[in-house]
Amino acid sequence: MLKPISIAILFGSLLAVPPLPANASGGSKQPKAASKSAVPPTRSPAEQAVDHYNFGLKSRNKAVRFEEKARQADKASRRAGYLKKAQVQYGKAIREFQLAVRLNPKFHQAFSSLGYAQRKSGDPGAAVIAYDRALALSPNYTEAIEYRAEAFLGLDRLGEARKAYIRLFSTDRGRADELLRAMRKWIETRRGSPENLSKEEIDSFSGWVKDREEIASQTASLDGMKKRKW
Amino acid sequence: MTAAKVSLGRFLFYDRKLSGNGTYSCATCHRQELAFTDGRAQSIGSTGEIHPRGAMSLANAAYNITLTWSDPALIRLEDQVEIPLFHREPVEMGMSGRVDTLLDRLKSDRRYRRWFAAAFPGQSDPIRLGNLYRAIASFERILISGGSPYDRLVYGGEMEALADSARNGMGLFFSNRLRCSRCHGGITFSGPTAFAGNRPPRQAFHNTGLYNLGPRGNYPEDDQGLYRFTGRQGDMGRFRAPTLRNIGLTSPYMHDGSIATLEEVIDHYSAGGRTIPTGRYAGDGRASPNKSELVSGFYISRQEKADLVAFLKSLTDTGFISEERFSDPFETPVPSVPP
Repeated sequence: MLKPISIAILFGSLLAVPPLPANASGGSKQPKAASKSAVPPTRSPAEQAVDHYNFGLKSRNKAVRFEEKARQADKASRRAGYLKKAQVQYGKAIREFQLAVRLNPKFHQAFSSLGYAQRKSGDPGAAVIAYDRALALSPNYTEAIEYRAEAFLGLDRLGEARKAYIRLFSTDRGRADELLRAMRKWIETRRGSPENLSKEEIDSFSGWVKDREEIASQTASLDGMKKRKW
Repeated sequence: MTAAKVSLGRFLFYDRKLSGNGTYSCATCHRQELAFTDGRAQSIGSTGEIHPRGAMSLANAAYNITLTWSDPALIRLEDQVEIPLFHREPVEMGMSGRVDTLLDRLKSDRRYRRWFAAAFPGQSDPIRLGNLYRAIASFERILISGGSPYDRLVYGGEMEALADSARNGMGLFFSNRLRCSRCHGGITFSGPTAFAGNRPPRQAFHNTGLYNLGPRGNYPEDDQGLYRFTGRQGDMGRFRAPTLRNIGLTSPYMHDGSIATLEEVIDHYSAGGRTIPTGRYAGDGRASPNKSELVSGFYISRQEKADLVAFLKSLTDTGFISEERFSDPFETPVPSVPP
């Protein structure tokens, strides 16, 4: 999960940020924060972008906690209640991340987080666009590669999800493993509700996932080499 | 690393001027078609002296945390270049005591005057030993092998790149039963690797129970591995795990080429060491007190052995052995020259 980002980390990439257009956040000179945590008006656009990003992360983390509670809830009504609360938080997070990227169009982490919240809100198409922006700014940002692939799964764009996995496999095994888990989950879901996909398509993808799981488990030691004591 | 250094290094690597009697280049013992090994059990120097070991492959040498079979201090390719050039026991290139001759040869060649100046701009006298080392090391660093069927499967996502037998062999290779990858791991299949952003891991040397001479588990006197450098008995017979990439091309095997085929190598590890019944090296390697605990033996069926060999052969990168950038520039119709 993402951690709040430090202004210092982003400092280098924020120097050339153009000033925010007057109507960028509803006509006021300063962007209007969607959350109760108002951004101090004296801060630079770059600093405000980071503030909005961090507010967005807070909402997103709240949403994730509600989702966890929903998973653990024993009654369907309680589960539904938690999921609804989670969606409210994702909505808030989207607004904050949108403000962050308007204030700093080079903020690739914010684009990626925007994609995450949009995907969790059930809009994988919008999420892919946000991830595309993140990856245009930072092509090797593995978080965006992985989550965009999850959005591809949501859109049944399996070939692109596979490509993303192969790319992650050699650059970030942890992310690759996470994507493989998402693929497994997608298969379970689609077996119950295939929508426009044929059984053969799902079986073919399932076979591919099984093969990659085997390769991943066989070659797990390649990654462990870094830590092993000889 | 610059293109000019790499290109100069390629010419130097293939140039026989670098040997005392003008008969040897680096490429004599590091032949591209054999994945930059020489196909001999024990290499032969320019004056005919037989070496105790075979030439190691240069594939992916840039990532090795140590170079050569057992020297723990040799960690930079620039430093390694010096050894074959000037080593006397045994003689390799035979340039010991002839530094001036070597440099004069290069200085008298108009092309080298131009190429050294291009590779080391701003230097008044660029043809010097340090620059020669840097250029050859630069060339060696581009000798990257990563296009084998195994790579196409694992990193390229070509799910049909390996035949079924090789896929089974891959499972065995990485399994806890055989544990081959415990020593031949990492992207190089040679154990721990060094690369940018990675804190160098500990060096690794292994005694595989190849010999067990006398009560202390010695190796033959002419080559006792890490022990030669540390003097510790526990380091007797410990050598670096060589890369398994292109292993199908680099027979014979083990540091002294004393095992001819991959099948026999597997038999050796399956037995947990080698037993030599008679002769000057007679001994039960399985019982060596210095043997690595990782070499403890395992059961493997005939079919599994064939599968494992198929997998090892799937590590052959045909692009690597035919890549023009790595080839002899003196034999190229229009030699590419440094800018």
